[in-house]
Amino acid sequence: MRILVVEDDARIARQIVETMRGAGYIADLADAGEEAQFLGETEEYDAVILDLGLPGLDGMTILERWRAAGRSMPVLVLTARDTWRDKVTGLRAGADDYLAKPFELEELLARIEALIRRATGHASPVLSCGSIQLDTAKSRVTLAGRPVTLTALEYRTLDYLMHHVGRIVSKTELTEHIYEQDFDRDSNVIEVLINRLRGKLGRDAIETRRGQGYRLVAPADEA
Amino acid sequence: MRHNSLTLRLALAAAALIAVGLAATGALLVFMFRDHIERRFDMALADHMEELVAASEIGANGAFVLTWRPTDPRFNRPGSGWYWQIASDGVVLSHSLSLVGMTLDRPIASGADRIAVLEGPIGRGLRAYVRPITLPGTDGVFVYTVAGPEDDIAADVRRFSAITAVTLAVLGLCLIAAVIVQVRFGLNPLVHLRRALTDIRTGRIHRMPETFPDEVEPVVEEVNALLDQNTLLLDRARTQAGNLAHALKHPMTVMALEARHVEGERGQIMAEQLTAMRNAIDRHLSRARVAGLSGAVGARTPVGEVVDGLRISMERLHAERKLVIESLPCNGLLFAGTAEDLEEMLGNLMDNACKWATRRVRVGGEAQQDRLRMTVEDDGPGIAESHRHLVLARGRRLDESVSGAGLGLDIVRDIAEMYRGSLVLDESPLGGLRAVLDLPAPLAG
Repeated sequence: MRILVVEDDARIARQIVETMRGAGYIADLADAGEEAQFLGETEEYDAVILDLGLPGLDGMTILERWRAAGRSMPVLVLTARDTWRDKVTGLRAGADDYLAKPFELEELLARIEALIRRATGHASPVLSCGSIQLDTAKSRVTLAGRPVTLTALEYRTLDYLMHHVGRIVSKTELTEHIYEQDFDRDSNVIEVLINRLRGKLGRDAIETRRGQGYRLVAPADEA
Repeated sequence: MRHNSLTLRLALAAAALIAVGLAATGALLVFMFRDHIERRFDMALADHMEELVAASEIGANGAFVLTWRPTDPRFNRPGSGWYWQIASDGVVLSHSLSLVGMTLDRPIASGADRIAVLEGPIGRGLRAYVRPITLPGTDGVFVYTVAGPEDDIAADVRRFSAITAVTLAVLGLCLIAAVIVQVRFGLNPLVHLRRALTDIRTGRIHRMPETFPDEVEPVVEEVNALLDQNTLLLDRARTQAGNLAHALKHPMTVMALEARHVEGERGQIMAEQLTAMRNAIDRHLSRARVAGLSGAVGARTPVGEVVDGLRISMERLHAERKLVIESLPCNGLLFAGTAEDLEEMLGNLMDNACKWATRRVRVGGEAQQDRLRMTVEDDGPGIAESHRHLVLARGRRLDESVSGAGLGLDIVRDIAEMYRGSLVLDESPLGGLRAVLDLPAPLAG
């Protein structure tokens, strides 16, 4: 899962990015309005944390431009202005959630997880696919009740596939959502990752559709 | 009419001036009338005098002869008050029949014609025309006196005075009535002024209308300038409060995040103190932002738009809970206050309802004359009656596990009270809590 953090204060931004990375997300940082707008319009993000008080282009304008350009990723607005008037205005401009400063990092993380779940159509923080369970709140994966140990990249890959269970996910899409922005994107690495996941979760858990991508399928579906 | 009334003052002043003016007019009229009557009287006496003089002759024997007597019957009726007398050297030579057995005062034999006031023979005051004449053929001076009763004049003057007094009194009353009508009409703009001020206070109009007469216009302009200044100062104060909150919350965010890395008790103390700071800022600044009844002069907020905006917001904020947020039609309802304040109250109540609801949240409103009654209810667990006053107490929250500062309801109540309204909590027919807001509505029309 790839997240864009738009925050001009370096100290706050660092804490948010560290927390997000610690929870298994890829977090890109933008500290100015123009850069944020560009990233949001060109990159694929699963969620955005948007501070409204930015130098240059302000957060509300960026949000409106994203929505006008048809970008529909969930956006959590972070602001010190927390009257209901501000909230209604923000939500009407296309925000999906609102968090007032000062905030708790745990709450920010929980809200982001909830936003991503909601955007991908999942109601519970624990995603299931057959006997595979992924707890987004605790970043834990179990197979038939037994814990499975995954590396950060493996977890991100499975996390993305679990959120989009049943749908074909292309290699490019997967790369965009699990790698850091400046990472050397090599499609072979994806194949290696998928094979390692198959090794840990079962050969049939991930289907390969030649020329199209991968699909996570519940083992029960095939049985 | 009250004691301290402009109408009364103007009417009294007018009455005093009218009374003085009419009295002077009356006195002048009576004076002129008396003068006229006296001259008419004197002319009548002079006519009789001419008659007497023309009838006087000195006979061949040198004796005085009156060839004929005046025919006016009043001279023949004894004691009638109308007399004539001709005397020479103190001897009465001839007199009217009305003077039988009496004489007029001894006239002075010298001098010119004159009008004299005499004491009459039977005590009536007389006005007499006295003329000393030297008749041809004699050396003696004959004094002719013709007199009439003075009280005839007095009676005429009295009658005229009475009529004049009544006439002038009626005229005076008419004038005072006219003054009162005029003052009432003239002061009518003041009544309109008062009504316009009432309308501003009750939120029916934003500014004073500019249809007042030139004399009142400056007051109206000043009131409007005052209203503008009030709005400006309030906006500035609210903006500054918002800016202060913004300015403080940013470093507080940094501190709160850094405090996580401070190990042990110290980090915990820092976190606690930061929470206390945050609560204090929320509590005081949220109140500072409230316009309240006095700050929202002339404001009219359509309730429907606010409820719609909030419902859409709640549906998004609580999307995961898949609640049914029902808003009963609020179109046409108006709140006599700012949209920000109404949003703050309903936003907090609806947010609370959404946090606690099992499935349903319902928002409704109704107008009752100049009051607006808003209800927000849910089908959640509700709050036991004995605990309801606790959630309205400052900074209280019953269940720490539900997110939110826990300051929602007491702030709502404070805002409502700043509009001379109230927040009451009771049980909803849906099963959960029902919050009822009583707020002012602008007067219809």
